[in-house]
Amino acid sequence: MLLDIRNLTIRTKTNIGTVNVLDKVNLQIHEGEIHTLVGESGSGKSLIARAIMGFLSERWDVTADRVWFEGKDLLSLSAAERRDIIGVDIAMIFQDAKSYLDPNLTIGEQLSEAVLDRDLDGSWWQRSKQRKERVISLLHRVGIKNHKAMMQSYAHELSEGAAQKIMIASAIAHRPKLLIADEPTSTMEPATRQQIYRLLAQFHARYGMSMLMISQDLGAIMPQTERISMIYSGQLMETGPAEPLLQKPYHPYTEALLNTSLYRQAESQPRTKLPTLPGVEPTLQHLPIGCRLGPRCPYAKPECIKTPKTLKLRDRMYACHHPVNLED
Amino acid sequence: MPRPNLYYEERMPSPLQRVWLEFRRNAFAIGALYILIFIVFISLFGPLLTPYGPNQQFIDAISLPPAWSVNGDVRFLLGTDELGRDMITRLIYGARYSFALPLLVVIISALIGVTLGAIAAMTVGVKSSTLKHLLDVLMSIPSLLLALVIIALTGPGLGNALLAIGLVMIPQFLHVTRNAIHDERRKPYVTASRLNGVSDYYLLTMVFFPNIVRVLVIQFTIGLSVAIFDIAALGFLRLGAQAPTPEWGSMLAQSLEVAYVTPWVMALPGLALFITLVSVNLVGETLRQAIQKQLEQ
Amino acid sequence: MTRYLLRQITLLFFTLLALSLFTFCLSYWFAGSAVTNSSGIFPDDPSYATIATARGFDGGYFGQYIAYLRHLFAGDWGRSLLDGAPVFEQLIVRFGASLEIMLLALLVAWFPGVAFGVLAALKPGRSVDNTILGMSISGYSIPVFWFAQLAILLVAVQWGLTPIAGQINPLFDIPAVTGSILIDIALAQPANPQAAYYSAFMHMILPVTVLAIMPMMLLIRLTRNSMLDVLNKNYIVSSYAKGMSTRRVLWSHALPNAMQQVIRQLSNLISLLIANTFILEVIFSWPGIGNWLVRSIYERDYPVIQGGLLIIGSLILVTHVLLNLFHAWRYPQVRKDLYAAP
Repeated sequence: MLLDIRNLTIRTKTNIGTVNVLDKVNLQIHEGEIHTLVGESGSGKSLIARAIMGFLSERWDVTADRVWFEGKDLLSLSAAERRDIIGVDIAMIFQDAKSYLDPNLTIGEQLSEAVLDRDLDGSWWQRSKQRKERVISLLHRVGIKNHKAMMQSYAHELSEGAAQKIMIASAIAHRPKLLIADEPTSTMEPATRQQIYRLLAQFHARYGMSMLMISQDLGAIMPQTERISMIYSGQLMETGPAEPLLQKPYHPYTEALLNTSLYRQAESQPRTKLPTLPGVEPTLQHLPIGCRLGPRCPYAKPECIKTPKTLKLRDRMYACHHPVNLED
Repeated sequence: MPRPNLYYEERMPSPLQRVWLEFRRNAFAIGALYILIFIVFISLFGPLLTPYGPNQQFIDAISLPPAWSVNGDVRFLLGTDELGRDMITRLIYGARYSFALPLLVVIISALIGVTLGAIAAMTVGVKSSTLKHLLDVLMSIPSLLLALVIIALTGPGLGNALLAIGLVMIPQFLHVTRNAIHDERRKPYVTASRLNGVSDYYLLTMVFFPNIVRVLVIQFTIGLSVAIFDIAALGFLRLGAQAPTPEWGSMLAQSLEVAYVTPWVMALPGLALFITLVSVNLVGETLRQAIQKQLEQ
Repeated sequence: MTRYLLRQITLLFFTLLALSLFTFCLSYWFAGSAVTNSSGIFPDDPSYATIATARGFDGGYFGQYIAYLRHLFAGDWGRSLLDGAPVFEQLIVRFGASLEIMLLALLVAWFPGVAFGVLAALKPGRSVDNTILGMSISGYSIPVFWFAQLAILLVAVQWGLTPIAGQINPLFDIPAVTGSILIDIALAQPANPQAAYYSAFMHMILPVTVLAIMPMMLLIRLTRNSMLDVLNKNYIVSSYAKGMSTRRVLWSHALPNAMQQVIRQLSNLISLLIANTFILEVIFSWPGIGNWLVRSIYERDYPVIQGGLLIIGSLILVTHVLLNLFHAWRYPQVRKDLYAAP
């Protein structure tokens, strides 16, 4: 087990008091696994990524039974200890990559920041030469041939795809064991998206690194995904291997999301009712008690007012009182 | 079976209300607002509150210190100056010259400047980047210097100083309004309104104005602070209000010769000016922050 | 960048031309004879007729303007109506004196201003931030002429630590060459340079400190607000994701980007500085341009008003363009906005 998160709860203050934005989320990522976390916007999926990276400000109160990375508890690390892991063993890429590049530094300067001093030796000019070589090789690895021009350009001169490649180059600089990708392709065109997915898959195969992909669209997840977790409004709904989960979702929420995906919709006739959940996602001020899907769930029963336990069935987990597609 | 209420409806306060709610959280800013209201009050009703006239001299009470000191006199709460005039009376009358008149001037310039700015923004005429650059240059000239130029032409005096400050303020409001409308012009909601076929007047008053009013409010507080300072500075340089007008800046200038003997004559008008300026600046900065915070959400 | 440079220089040229046209027109707008107003020669002076011809007053307005420009470039800016001193030579000296305290005050204001601003931005909403912000707003609101008087009363009169006014003890008899007292002492090489520098320093300390206060307070607020803005930017997050320490992120990403916004608003600060220099020069009897200009307005000394406005106006215009150029040179993404403007 590379990353083991148990009962991760994140609270924040709103005008009606403290609310659990994230409610006892469990997430396990094995070595060399591509894990996709799917949820609508505002469901707290980016919050999980940021909690792992330690980016959350004091506004967010993070508690958990454990957030273990290779047996080390990420939440109790000091800033210096954390820096030995973040950026080295755990790296992250983001949505809208351009805005994550400093507009006033060249790409070369920013990439060389990702090369750590401790990996270099010799006098300062030898080190700067090594540093430059490292940067060039990083650029080649993400498929940028014209490294000279790229190193001198600025963020505003790049395309969306190129900027994301630079982010990937800086993320893989130390062959991380875990790469967190927060909706890296959601604003891209399909062709660029496939390019980025192929690049990521290539590094996954070459370095054997695990990946936590975050996506809001079940229809556009990375094809190589091995496991999928569904999150709704801060609660984890279902986790399981990709293929069976998409074929036979146990949780009503997964089923509803699948129904709204493009390929299922094509089958439905016009003028029929869209097979989706009624209502809207609850705001932070109006979180339902118990199962947060409750008020929108077509199968809801009075007991849904209690938070369902996470149940395990073979290699799948779900949190629902009335799962669907459970024949046996 | 009754359906649960799926749609969470709650009336969101309007943008201006939200700015006010945010503003209200800062106790200092509220205090400053009360001070400003108090100053407006005494500029309106000052003469009813004071027992003496601003230039009434008391031969028996020359250079009296404030009432709480040993040599003080209860008749003159904050003492008298070297000509035996009651300080508190002069300060109260001074609020008219140092606060109410600048306020009036800024209001008038704002009305003119915003109108001109709106016209300039709606009628796309001169190549805008050149105009923008020229206005930028004009903005970078200190308002006090521009006022000095105008006073050099018209001669010293309170009326001329007020006119000068008013003239200087107009291009600032023009610039801010024009820029604000320019920034909003390409936003989708404006395009949507245009596609609805609304008239230019409707576009200006009902579409642009509610969205730029925040910028204008901030500019108004900045302008007010600058106008108060400039009027007082001109009075101090003896180019604005002339003696014996109880304007705070010229009171300061007159007190210079006696500042070593009767320091309160110098300290009090400056303190009044300082409190006024702090209040205006504090209200302005808090408003700016409240608006900023709202934009981020 | 070249294109931008050329554009800015062209704009500077035209604004300077407009400024000279304005000061030229002032001769007509002021009361009295335009010849007297621009040259400082009274009509009863024997050379009046020759001056009027040299300045093109027998021809049309255009010829007069050309003659005016020619005189400007030749360094003949007329004579003061009060004492008949040549305006240009006086202006150079006074300009130096003003520039000296302005630059020193900017220097004094800069580092504490930026440091306090950053400090406040690191703990937004906390007591450190509130204290610094409160100090900044109240410090910014002190009327500078009042503050200067209080400082003189307390420091110079009550405690007797510094002299009340002037540039240097007149006993040193330093001839004014550049106007900047520190440079003048170096040029004059008096018998006792240390004592002269000491005297100049003691005279300078009060005006420079008082002058520095307001820009410093403004700078604190500018730095704090832009720093807060930058710290919320995504590229700060990605720098942390690279495993950089807070100190390195602040130093190499946050501060340079925050400074960009500060520099963009620097012209506000400079105009504040100029206005306050004018007032303080009057109070401290500093022989600078503001002191002279205010006096000349009072005395209706028109050639001096024109010359003073021309030189202060040029200073502002040149600074404005230099700031723009620096901004575009240092911050590359600005140039994109400039070129790609719709």
